[in-house]
Amino acid sequence: MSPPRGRGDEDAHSLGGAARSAKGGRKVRVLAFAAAFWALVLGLLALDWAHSVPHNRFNEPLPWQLGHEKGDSAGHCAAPLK
Amino acid sequence: MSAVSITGLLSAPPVATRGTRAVGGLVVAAALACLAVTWLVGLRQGLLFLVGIGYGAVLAGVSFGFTTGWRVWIRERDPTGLLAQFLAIALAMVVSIPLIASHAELSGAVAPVAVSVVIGAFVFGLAMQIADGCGSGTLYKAGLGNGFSLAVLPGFIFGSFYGAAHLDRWLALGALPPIALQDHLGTAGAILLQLAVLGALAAWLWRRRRTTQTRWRGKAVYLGAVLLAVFAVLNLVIAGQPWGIVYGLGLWGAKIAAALGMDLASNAFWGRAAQQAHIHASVLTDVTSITNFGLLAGAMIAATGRGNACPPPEAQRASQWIAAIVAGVALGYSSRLAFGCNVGAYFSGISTGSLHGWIWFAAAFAGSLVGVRLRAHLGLKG
Repeated sequence: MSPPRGRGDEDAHSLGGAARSAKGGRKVRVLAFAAAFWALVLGLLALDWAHSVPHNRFNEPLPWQLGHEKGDSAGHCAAPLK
Repeated sequence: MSAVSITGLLSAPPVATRGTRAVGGLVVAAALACLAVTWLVGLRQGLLFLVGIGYGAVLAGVSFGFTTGWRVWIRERDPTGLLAQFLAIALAMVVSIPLIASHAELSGAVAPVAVSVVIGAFVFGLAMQIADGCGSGTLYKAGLGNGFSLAVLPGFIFGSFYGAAHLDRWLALGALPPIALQDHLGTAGAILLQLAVLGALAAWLWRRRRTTQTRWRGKAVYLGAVLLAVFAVLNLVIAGQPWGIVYGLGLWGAKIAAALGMDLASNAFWGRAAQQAHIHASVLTDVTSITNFGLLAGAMIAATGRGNACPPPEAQRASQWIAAIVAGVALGYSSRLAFGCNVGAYFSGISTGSLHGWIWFAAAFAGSLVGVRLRAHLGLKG
């Protein structure tokens, strides 16, 4: 048989419930932020693909650069003058 | 036990099962995305997307934080994060420098030694402690739904765009040409010198340590360092250039600016033929952007697997949110003046023999000393 619960136990219980509720609300908010972020990323990618110069996938560089002739310059943060 | 609770127990899958299903779903989604990239753009971009997934999985899987590694040393004298970073740089370097030296088709992250590097790196080091993330950290935490990083990211993108746009003016303050140590000391000389400096720094950090238990326990962070080095070498072999982050963010900003009608054709940086081609092509064709997208996906998978895919928001007060936005702009702008962030300048710069990487490290660390105090002043946790 469990001991009788006093007022303090009830307060602690309700505080614990409030904390769980706040944590649950925060989790929902973070999931909503993540979902909005990914929806925006995918939307922008689709928009970008539709409005960019069409890509010729039959004129691809080789799968890796090592051992092959250097192609067009790719952008890099340490290469400002390309 | 009531019928309701029995039904609840039967219908609610265990947390581990739900997590496993979520990870499985994300892995399938990432695999489909990789196939789509390969189909639409080519095998090289598909492979780089996989490399990006590897970066993200390692960074989130072992909490390999560049920013936090510096902060725990400054505050707690815990050298673990910095030692792991040095290990990753050293391992990437012993493969990358000989590869670059013997293959003209591969390029290092070798940038000018400029006044702008000192200023930019100092500001970046300061701002990354406020933002609690460098380029990679901000990106992947935004992807996990971290409200603070989501506030930092737009400023980071537009700061990076404007920093590149103004780069010629900053370079006018004074700059030496790019210096690759292997060009002056030979391949072996550059590797030995950099290993000696990294080793000496590591020994100094170890002697001055007070703890090694503030954030990382066990050897996972060192295993993460080894894996990051492997992915960095793969990045070099496949893309022909080392790992970078912020060029991609600036390019996204340039594309948005162009879409809004801004004329970039006359700009000293974005007006160059190569940059104009990148602006008008899909971001999926850009090697930096594609690894950034992979990093986002990999971090999401790893964080879901660890059960920490929902990081708590770090800001409660208006001043903290304003600080996040300002720090984002500062991070983006300064990283272009400094020719890279922790990844492009510090990790890739040093591991491919660029002198600017060392100058970046010193200036950014000095900035972080100030940034850690500012972070405490702003009441930001962590």
